[in-house]
Amino acid sequence: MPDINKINGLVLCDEIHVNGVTIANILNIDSITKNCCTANGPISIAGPEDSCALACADEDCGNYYTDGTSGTCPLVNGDILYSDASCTLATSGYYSPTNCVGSCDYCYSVNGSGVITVTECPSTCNEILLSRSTESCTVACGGECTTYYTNASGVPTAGDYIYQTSECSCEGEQPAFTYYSNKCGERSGTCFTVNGSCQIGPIAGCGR
Amino acid sequence: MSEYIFLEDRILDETGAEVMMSWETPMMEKHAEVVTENGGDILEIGFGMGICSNFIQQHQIKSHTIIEIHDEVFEKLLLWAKDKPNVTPIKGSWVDSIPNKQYDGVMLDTWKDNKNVEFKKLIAKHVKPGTIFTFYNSYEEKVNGYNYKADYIILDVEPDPQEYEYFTGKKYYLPKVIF
Repeated sequence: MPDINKINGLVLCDEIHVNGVTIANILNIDSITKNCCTANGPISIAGPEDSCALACADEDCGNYYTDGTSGTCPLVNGDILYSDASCTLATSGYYSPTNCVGSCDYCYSVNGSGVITVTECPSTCNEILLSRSTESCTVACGGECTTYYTNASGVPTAGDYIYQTSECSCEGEQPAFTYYSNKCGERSGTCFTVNGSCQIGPIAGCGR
Repeated sequence: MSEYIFLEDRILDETGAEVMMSWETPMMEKHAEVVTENGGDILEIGFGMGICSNFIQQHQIKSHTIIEIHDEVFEKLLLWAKDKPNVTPIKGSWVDSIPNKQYDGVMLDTWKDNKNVEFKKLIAKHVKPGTIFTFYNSYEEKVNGYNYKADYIILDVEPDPQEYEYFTGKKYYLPKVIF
């Protein structure tokens, strides 16, 4: 099968004229429809999501195409994102290759015309179910769990942070020590001692 | 992976903490009854001592998928499953090993897991309207660690003494969530 994108060593979609004919005026060659998207891709990207935070955390990657230079990290503002090789514009929303092949830690905001605006991925802010006590680990380990936030992507460890706000900011005056637990009714759990800067210090097991 | 100690009436982890104990048998029997109410395809996460799995097998179900992450426990699961044609043992974490299907009942009982937010997100892909979800619950009141709306079956229990004291109450609030 001849490849319309590569003729006589030329990458058709990268050329402006071929044999004196403007590329834009070439619709097909030998009954093969011109399809420039395949020349720049596929690239592995997750999305669309409702925010950069969600896109940058998304691990469900798919193949997309672009008129930009595939393989570069990141793509650049103004590049077009296509959802298939037939140049269908990608649905508007937020995309990211962060957790995909190439691990490019950027967010692509795509508008209704498929045009990309590139931003950095926001710092991680994940939901976590915890119980909280200002008294002790014992109380925290047996307490009812509600949603808090952390910069950790899995179970937090010493040095990570636990926040009460979805912006992952340590707002307001915090107690010198607050105790959080992820036991949440399970057989086992951990108690995190958090200082006034919302940072986790000593960690203990529940139930001892 | 840490080595467990397998005793007749309990499993201990590397710190001596009880992972599971045989006094929980009545609780597991009820969990099995609840999770199989719809019949059909059952997903069980965490084999432990196999107590709940044995009871699940006593009910009319189509399939019984069991996910177990611990090496030694999984070996025991394989032996147990040998003569049970509707059982599919899967080695690994539920995070990335739940088969791509929707179940009629899901039972969760794990050890040092503590990923409730992640579990809620993931399990939504593997349930359908009417799916029953039940799970180990150490709260001694009508509360669960997932903040699911649940019905509770309250069981009178007599826990054996525990080094780790993971459950010392006299009432077990068995949660039943219907999606």
